[in-house]
Amino acid sequence: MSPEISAKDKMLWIEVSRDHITAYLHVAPGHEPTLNDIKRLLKKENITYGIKDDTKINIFLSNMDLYDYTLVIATGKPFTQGKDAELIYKFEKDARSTFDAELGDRDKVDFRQIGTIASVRENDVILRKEPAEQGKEGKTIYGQTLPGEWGMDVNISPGTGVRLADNRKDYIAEISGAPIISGGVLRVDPVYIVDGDVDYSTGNITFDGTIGIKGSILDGFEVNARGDVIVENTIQSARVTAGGDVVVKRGILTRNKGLISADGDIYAKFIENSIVEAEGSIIVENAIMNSSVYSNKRVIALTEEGAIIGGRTIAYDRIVVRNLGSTAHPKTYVQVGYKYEIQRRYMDELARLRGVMKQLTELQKNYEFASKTAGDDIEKTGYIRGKILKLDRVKKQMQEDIYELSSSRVFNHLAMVEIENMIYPGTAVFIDDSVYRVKKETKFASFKWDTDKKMLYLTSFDESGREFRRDSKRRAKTVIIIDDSRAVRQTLKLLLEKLGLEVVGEAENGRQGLELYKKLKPTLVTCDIAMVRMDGIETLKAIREENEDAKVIMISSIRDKKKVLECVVQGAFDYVLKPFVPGRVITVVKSALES
Amino acid sequence: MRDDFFTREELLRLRKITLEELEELYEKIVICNDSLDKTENVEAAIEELGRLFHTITGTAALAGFEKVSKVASLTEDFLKKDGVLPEIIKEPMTKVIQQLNMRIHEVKSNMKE
Repeated sequence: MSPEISAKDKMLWIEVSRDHITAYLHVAPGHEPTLNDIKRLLKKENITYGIKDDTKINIFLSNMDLYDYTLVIATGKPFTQGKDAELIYKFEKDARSTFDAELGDRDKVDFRQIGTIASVRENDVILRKEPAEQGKEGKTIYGQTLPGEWGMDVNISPGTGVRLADNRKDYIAEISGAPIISGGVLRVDPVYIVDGDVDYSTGNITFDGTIGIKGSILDGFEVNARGDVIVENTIQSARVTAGGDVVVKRGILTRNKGLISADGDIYAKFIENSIVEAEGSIIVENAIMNSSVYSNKRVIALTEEGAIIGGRTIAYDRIVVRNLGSTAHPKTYVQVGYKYEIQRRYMDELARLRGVMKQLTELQKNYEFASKTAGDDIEKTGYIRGKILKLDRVKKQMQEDIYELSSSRVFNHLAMVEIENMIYPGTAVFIDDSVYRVKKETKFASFKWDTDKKMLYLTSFDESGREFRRDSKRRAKTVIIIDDSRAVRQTLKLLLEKLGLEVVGEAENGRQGLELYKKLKPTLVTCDIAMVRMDGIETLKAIREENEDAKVIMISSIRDKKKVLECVVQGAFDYVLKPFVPGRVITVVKSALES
Repeated sequence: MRDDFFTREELLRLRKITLEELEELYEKIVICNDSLDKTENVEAAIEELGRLFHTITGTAALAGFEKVSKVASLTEDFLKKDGVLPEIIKEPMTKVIQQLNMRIHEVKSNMKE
């Protein structure tokens, strides 16, 4: 805190701290002020509070050199922080509410204490809120009062089944049931208890409150609750939907036939061959095996046996496990950074597009074969031609949809994957669309996103305990542009560079373009059709002969269906009409890079 | 060209490049047209003319020079028709070349403003 200089003459002056709580008296060496001089100066500066007594000032004046010519002449009284508001629960809380979602106490969660259904009776005081208090007031050296700081308040509103008492401190249950705190609201849910299994004797259950099941939920049944669903045993091939949490004291094993879905968190001893999704976190005591697990917060498996083995796990914020994969190296995919609903749709659409592309490739081969063998049988080739054009239209629409989906994803660049013990080969970690495929067993690994380099990286420790970093492999995406118009080449270059591609070559005709392709082997090619010295279609054919996986995007103002068909048949990735809209080029390029 | 992908400066630069190219293509068209009377390979020359107009069609449209693109597009279609001979196209081509010149100059003046 740098002091303010409030008064300065060359011999005697006062400096005051910025918060006006401390005043320093300075005396120039050689000068010998009196007590009255000091008192006059204090009066002049309006310093009236906390002034040292005369005895102490006189001691200073007699020994100024020992004090280095400076004395704290006045000290104010700082204000204090008040007590924070406190919530005093009058019911036994489930261990879920003490689970530190920031994982500070993650080892301390006792899974045996999770899943208790608290119970309150009508008119019980279920919560008392002691309000925040204001701290003690302070005073500056100028005598100004500084009000005390208020403690932090805690906002908790009464929800259904709860009312606030007249004293504004007590929360009273209006009905008997289970108290639930969710999203800053305290409510009391009616509770429905099933004494055994959910089976033919109970039928499917839908209840506007919390459901407690003392047995299991058996194959083929449905349980829907507005509040929590607490299951003492297992969930088998059933559908469970909860507006609150799902707590399964043993395991979830639906054999991929049911769906467990919660607006809150999901707790389970283990998850096996199941599809599980939660708006909140998914916390597992033992392993998640061969399952599709989706969370819009975190997926956690941190006890000694905690592991994710096989399957696909998506979390928006973090995945934290003891082990990822296993010694058998099963394919295990984990992804963080996106909300699961949109990411799942995006990946499913990409998979569908790959299927369509595969079908198109087959049709192209069939068309070529048919063209050679059919002779003048136009009907034969016409049929295949029609199918190709139709499928091409489907492909274009899918590409547009994928682009829309991709653009609407919101990326969490703080997302990470943490492995407390071992990560095994066979595991692929995705952050955004960047992937790290694990080839070697690695201990204590963390995967994070580098916002500058826009890639994911691994950090871990070597045998000597030194931390190291390994970036995910990222081959630069390169492109060559083939077009006889300089203006078109420049426009495309600018557009493609904005997409993060590197334009490694430009050619003004097909022959130059082919030479460039052979030399540079770019990721992608854009190619005009009407050019001298080898037109676009000849160039396309030659490039595809060079490399059957080459991705060539035709960009032309030719609208002739025959030409378009020929391009598709010769294996062009897509066809963009000039004058092109940048969005269309972006869609097609992104699709080419992702396929 | 939609300008929400490019900055104003980028768009201006692209339009300048396009204009330069259009002027070059125009010169080539004039030369090619003049050679129609003298060349032995008339078919190739007409094909070359068609290709030049085709290039102008696409390039001009991309930069938003609609009138230039329209003139070129109509001429391209005309030249693609069967039975196009130098004596048939001589007069229309003179008018087209004048039109093209006017449109390119219009674009140039607008850009200066």
